[in-house]
Amino acid sequence: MSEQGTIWGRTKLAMIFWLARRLPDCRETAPYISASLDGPLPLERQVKVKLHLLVCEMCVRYRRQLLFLRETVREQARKIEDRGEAKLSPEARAKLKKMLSRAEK
Amino acid sequence: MMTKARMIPDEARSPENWVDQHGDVLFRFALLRLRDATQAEEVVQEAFLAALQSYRNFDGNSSERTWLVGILRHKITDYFRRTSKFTAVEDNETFASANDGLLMTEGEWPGHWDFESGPAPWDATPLAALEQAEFRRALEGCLGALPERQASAFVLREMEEMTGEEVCRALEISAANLWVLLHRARAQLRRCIETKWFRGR
Repeated sequence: MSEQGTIWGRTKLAMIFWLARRLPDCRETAPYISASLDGPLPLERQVKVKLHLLVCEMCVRYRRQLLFLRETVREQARKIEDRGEAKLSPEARAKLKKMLSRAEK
Repeated sequence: MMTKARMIPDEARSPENWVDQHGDVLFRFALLRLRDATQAEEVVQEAFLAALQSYRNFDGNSSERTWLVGILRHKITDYFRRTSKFTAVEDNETFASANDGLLMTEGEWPGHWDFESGPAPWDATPLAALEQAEFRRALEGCLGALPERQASAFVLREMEEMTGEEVCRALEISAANLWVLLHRARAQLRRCIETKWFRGR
């Protein structure tokens, strides 16, 4: 892993920095990382985001974490027979029963 | 002609039993999305009322629960539409500042993630995390902390799995507005779950 010591390693790092300085920063990129999860971005923006992700590990992580959240939230929402403990309050239960039994007659 | 027996499949399937048979499941379904017990009870009531009115048309092809959940879904979307109209636009609904505090403001790389406070490695898969009750509680807590409009957009997009256009139509907002709401919701949720769960362990 001493790639950074080699000439190739140093050149690669210099290229990454060179590119990173010319691209929109993380602050500007983050909203588009989110938007890219909802549909295709305009081409120019898409290229900028892709290049940014190529040189920025933290934004790659950010994107992966947004997908992590999507997956957990969806998974949780899809479970209709879930394992939660929340229950209707006794008052709400009584009110609903009264409403339904009255309506039936 | 359809017989009455087919339309109302069996004795147990009468509205009077709905509360015992489906009440808590419907309540939890609504609670996860609305994040407030009183509101959740109210939409369950609305769903039951609507179900009573269309009960005669229930064809029995799906299970009664699936049918009731479908009605509840509509009521939840209606609820979000109503509240999105009456909730004032939050003054921080701008594109750029959602990750403030996690980004460097000076030095060589302003506007880039701070190595300390920026996204940390998350050492779990979604399914493994969901197995843990503590994670589920943290997730619910973080969802509960989202501002109303952001939460509406996020819930419809990620829980109800609507497309962006569908959410815009449901909430009567523009695409640009939706992008901001979703970006802010995701950024806040990400930060919250990282602090509450990943860094806290």
